[in-house]
Amino acid sequence: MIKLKKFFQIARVLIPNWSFFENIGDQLILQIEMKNSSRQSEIDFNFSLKPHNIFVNAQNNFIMAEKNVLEHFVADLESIQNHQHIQNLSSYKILISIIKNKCSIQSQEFRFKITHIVANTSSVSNLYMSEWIKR
Amino acid sequence: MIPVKNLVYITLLYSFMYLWLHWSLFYEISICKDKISNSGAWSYNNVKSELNDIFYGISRNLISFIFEKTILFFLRHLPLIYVLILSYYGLVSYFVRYEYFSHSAFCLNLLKVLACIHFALTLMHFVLSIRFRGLYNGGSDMMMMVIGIGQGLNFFCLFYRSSTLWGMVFISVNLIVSYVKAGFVKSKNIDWLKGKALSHFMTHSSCLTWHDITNKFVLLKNNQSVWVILTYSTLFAELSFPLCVIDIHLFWFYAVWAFVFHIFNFLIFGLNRFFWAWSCAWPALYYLINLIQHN
Repeated sequence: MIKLKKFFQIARVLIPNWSFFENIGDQLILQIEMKNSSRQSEIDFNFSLKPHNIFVNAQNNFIMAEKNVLEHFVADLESIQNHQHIQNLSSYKILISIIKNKCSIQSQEFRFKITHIVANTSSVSNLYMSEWIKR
Repeated sequence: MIPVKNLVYITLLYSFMYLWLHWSLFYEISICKDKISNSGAWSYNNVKSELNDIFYGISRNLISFIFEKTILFFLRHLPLIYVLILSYYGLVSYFVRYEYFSHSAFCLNLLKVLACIHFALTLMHFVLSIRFRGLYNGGSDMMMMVIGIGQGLNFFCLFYRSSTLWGMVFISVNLIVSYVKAGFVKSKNIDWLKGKALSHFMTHSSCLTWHDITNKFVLLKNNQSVWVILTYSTLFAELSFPLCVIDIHLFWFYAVWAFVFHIFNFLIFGLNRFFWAWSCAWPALYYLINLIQHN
């Protein structure tokens, strides 16, 4: 009834792993480009805090979760061999939905690009460029 | 030996804290329930294929039923559900005050229902974590689950008349391991040992409040030795954390440190749920120290 290996990946809340901030992670930048314009705009995952957010911090926690999806997508990219199946990934689908929700897309089609800034050297590389996606 | 009456009080207190953790989690998600609706980023359609890869047969139908119908219904009726649960908690607390658990079948039955509510909440949290593909808010979900399982063990110990709340011991051990392991993995990284990692995390935080603070305190921004001192004090506190069980004074010292540490985590990274999850785990450690001293 359940594929156990995959189940334990998705049920990792049951197996605590207390490793936080152990590595300086590389910085990921998500940009989108409309088909009728060559201009690329960066998707902003920044947020500001107010004192009452110590109790309830719903919007900001969702922004952090959205940022995590970007990291999951990059990890998925590295783990899969056939990039033709990228569109079937949950992280890809969620990322597209996040882009659609966060940006007002005027064009009929858009694509997104992920840029990777290595933490220690600050060197920049393009990690992924999507196909044109219908709005 | 701690009297049974006190064990009941401790379990009740923990139930209230656990309820607060749950309420705040579900309330946060209910505020943003459009994000898990069909048009949201976390719509069920986006995660369906992944879940279908894991579950099949009856379990797939069950998961699909929960995620398509039940969760949204639950979030829609959240205030009413929590008023009912809270009223029940109040009822239990009121009766347990007058009828000691060990002498009253009535109180025992009340506590059994409370344990069932507790189990349902823990299960709901687990299901919600699956809905968010593993974790909604990182390590805080893990600590919340530890508290959930620990509190379940506490009920088990009460019903079987154990003189020790083993759930509290379970939570305490996890709390200690959480700090020590976090310190250990950092201490193996050269960027942490050079004091570079902390400044990197703070200056690259998505939380804009921290950028304002660093702009105001130029000293902190440009002075590497300040970062080294902050780094080593964090590493020292995390790695030496088990010392807190030796003496109650050390416990209070580490409690103050942890409070400041988690408040800064909130200010710098916006991690409010970490603050509450770890705060709720701390009383278990106090119980453990008392247990060690009594024995």
